[in-house]
Amino acid sequence: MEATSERLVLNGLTKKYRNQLVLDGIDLEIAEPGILALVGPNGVGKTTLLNCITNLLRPDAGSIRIMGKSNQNTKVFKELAYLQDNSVLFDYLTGYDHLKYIRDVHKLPKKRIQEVAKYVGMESYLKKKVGDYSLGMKQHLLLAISILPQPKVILLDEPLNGLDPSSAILMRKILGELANDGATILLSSHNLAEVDKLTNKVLFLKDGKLTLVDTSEHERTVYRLRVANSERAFALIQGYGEKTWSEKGLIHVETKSHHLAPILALLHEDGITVLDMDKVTSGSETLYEEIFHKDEVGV
Amino acid sequence: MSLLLFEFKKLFRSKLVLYFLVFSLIAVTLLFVRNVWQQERVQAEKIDYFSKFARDVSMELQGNRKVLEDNSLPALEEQVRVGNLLYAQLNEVVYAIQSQRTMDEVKTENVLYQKAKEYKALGGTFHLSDAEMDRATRLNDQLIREGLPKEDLKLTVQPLLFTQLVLSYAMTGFGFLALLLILLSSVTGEYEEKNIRLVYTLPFSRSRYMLIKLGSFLVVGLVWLTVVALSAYILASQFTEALENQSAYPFAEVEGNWIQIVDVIPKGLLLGGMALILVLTFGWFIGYTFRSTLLSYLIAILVVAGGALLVMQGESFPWNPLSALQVQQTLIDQYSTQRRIYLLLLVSIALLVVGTLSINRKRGV
Repeated sequence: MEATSERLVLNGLTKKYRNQLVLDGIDLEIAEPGILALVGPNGVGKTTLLNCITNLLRPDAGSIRIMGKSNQNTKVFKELAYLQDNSVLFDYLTGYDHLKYIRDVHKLPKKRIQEVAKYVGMESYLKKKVGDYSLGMKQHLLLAISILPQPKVILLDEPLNGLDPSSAILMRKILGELANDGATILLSSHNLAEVDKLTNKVLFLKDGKLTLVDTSEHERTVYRLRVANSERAFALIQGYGEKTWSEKGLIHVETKSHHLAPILALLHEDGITVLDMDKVTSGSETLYEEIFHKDEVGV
Repeated sequence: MSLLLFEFKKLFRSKLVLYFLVFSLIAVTLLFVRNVWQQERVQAEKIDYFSKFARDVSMELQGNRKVLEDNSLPALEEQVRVGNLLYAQLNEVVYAIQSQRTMDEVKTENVLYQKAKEYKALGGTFHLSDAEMDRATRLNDQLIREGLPKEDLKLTVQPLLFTQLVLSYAMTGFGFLALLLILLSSVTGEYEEKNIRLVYTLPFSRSRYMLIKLGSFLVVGLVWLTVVALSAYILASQFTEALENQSAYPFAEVEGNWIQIVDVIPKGLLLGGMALILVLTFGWFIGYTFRSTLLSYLIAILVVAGGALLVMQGESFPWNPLSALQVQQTLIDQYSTQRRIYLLLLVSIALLVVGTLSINRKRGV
């Protein structure tokens, strides 16, 4: 019996380009909704992996199942969407034409186009030709195409490329909402800061192998506290963080995120008021440095 | 249906098909303008044609009369007598053409050929073979029966005849090739520009997409033929006083029977339509097989234009579908239209089946 809860299962996935082994017998099982990031330097095989999953590339060995079906069954695309690079768009057609095509293929209600266009913020240029779109507009359209049929599994190849800050924020918000609504999202990226903002679950691809890491376990966060009595506070919390220092009137505490609560409690018990606080987090970046030894390109 | 409409939209939005239709309309208009422009020349050429015979006969008669001044040669005298009648008949034809008495023209022409054959039998010179004169006589007889004037089929402005002329230019290997090259790029371009990856991640099979694509090709082909035929007919109808009985105009003689223009057009359209299906299926097949615009263009040009050229050179391919691409030529040759239709359909279906099966065996883009 097929496990109905499975979203994406890879078994022994292998892909070679001439003599170069790009994917080396990859096994992976994703059963839960949420966001996973696929991280690795340029040319390591991230797009190759996504293309194999979507049957755009023929793997040399292994099998792929999506929502319990083989990826060679075109019906999987009823529940799987793939946001690719913008060369898949037809420049001489409008955004509306693209969405109407997807809507017709999936037999969706007419109003769905307007709903999605509004959701991704592309209502104003929906009827313009794609050839006149900016890079960000094209990314919005690609996202709209991907989410129009409300798929269970969404693969995204470098979705944040070329986005201005507000578009990137919107994209992150949408991806977060989709994950909360039950979608499984696998996105490739080499923008580690963006990855950290999206998810703690990171698949590192190196030498054809995937390593799934929960970056929250490796997360290093520096909290910057402005307190009423900084000297007293500094003396109290020294030793709680892995590293504590004072700089420009702010107390810096580098620690794992779950260590913050006891620090704040300690200050509170001593009657020290925290006037202001922010944090600077680095999770996957630190890990990336460790995994790829700073000698990889494209980071 | 909506997927077919999308393919259709892609073809038209990419502008190439639209440009091709506009180009076809301009070509039809220019051909019509040329034919209108040439109407006076048609009359002048006819006069020139028969005047040349008259000059030749007159010179021969002068020489023979000189011979007869010194000799008594009964046979030559008889030849001169018939020659004089022939010369008079030639002048009569020229006069009928000049005065635009169209029925008199064909009737006099037939009498002229009788005299010419008689003259040739008596040893006179007339630069038309008996077979040519017999063929012209049979055509004239048919025209007399139908009450129609003689038209130059290449310079005609009569609506049905002009429509047939336009279709005969369009439905050649070269006309089809032009359409094919435009449509081919919509297959290969999707691979080269990578748009196909969007289509291949949608929930339908690649073979279904291919068939939809072929369907859109056939619709465009049909639209093109319709636009060309209708524009020719409407243009000629608007600017020409149509003959009452133009549909009965004898187009070609096959085994002693005259094929009328009204029968030729539907038959030609049917055969041409089948040839078009074959060409488009062939283009679709090589487009999906090679996925390269340059390579596909080279193969299409080599096969379609090469085949058409061979047929134009007089090579006969009784069972080769390429020869059917020269539709007008095929209609009047000895091989039956029906057999060719079956053949064209058979080859198209074979390409369709092989193409569809092979795309399903291929994975990846």
